[in-house]
Amino acid sequence: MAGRERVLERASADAARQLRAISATGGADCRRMPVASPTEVVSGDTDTRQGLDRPWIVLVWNDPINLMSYVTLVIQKVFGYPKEKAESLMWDVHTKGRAVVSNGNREKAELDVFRLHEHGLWATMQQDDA
Amino acid sequence: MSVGGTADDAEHSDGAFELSHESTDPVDEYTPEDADDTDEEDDEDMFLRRRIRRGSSGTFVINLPDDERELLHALPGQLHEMLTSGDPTGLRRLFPAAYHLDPEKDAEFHELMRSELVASKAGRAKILEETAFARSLTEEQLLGWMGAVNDLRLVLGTQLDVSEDDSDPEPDHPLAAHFGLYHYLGFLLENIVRALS
Repeated sequence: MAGRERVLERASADAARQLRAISATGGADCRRMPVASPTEVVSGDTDTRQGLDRPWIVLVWNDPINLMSYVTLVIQKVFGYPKEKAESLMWDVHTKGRAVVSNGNREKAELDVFRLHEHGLWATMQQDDA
Repeated sequence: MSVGGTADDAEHSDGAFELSHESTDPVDEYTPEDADDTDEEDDEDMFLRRRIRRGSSGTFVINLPDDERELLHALPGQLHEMLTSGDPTGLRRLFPAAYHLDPEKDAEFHELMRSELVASKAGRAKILEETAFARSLTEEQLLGWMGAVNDLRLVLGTQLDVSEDDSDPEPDHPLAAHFGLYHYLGFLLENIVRALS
């Protein structure tokens, strides 16, 4: 579980850095900062400068290999969703190419992505642009 | 995504994986007399249920012919070798990008998580290797089988460049013989998923 511990340590360091960044700007409202398009690759620590309160979303993408029944079971087991919800998400992935399966702060999203990768699902995460 | 395999899909399997396994036709031994499940369900479901099914007290009954078990015992070693050799060829599907919009964060994520992911996958390959001849499995062991069989499918499917329409390869595809194994693993995975669902 060393990787997870490191994620949590980093989360704590990130939070401290964010607090310092906010106090350095006199508590300026981060939401006034320009919001990057999620299609652009933005370098630098975007978490600190913008979108502190924008949650991360975890996406599962369609792929030609994974079985539909398997994807449903993995979503059920990883998130504890009822079978109906997992099946509905699986169908979204299959027919629309992707589906948002969970959301939360960055650390939660990373652990969700890790567990989905552990089961061979093609999962990614990004900050919600809504 | 693709739907589960059928016995017909699997019947041409030659047991090859990485061109080094020598077992032949791992599912040829199946005969209808193997059936001992008398549930009144459709034929396909009965066929699937007889291979792996929930038994008493939380265990799972594994009803596979010996040559399939030999195959399942032999394959994880090759997977383990690929996982630990550090050669990314054919493994890209096992370690996809997490931050697909941010290469910098993605590199950081993989640096943090990759060894744990490798350990998890290697651990499941070991479970399959060690319990391939077991007549009954705990749920945890069967989940290990599920993960290992899926990893094998991902590696093989990536090598074979399979598409969603599930069409068979051109006969002169250099790896055409491996499609039988790919379909067999899909068939077995469907069995496992049904037993666990």
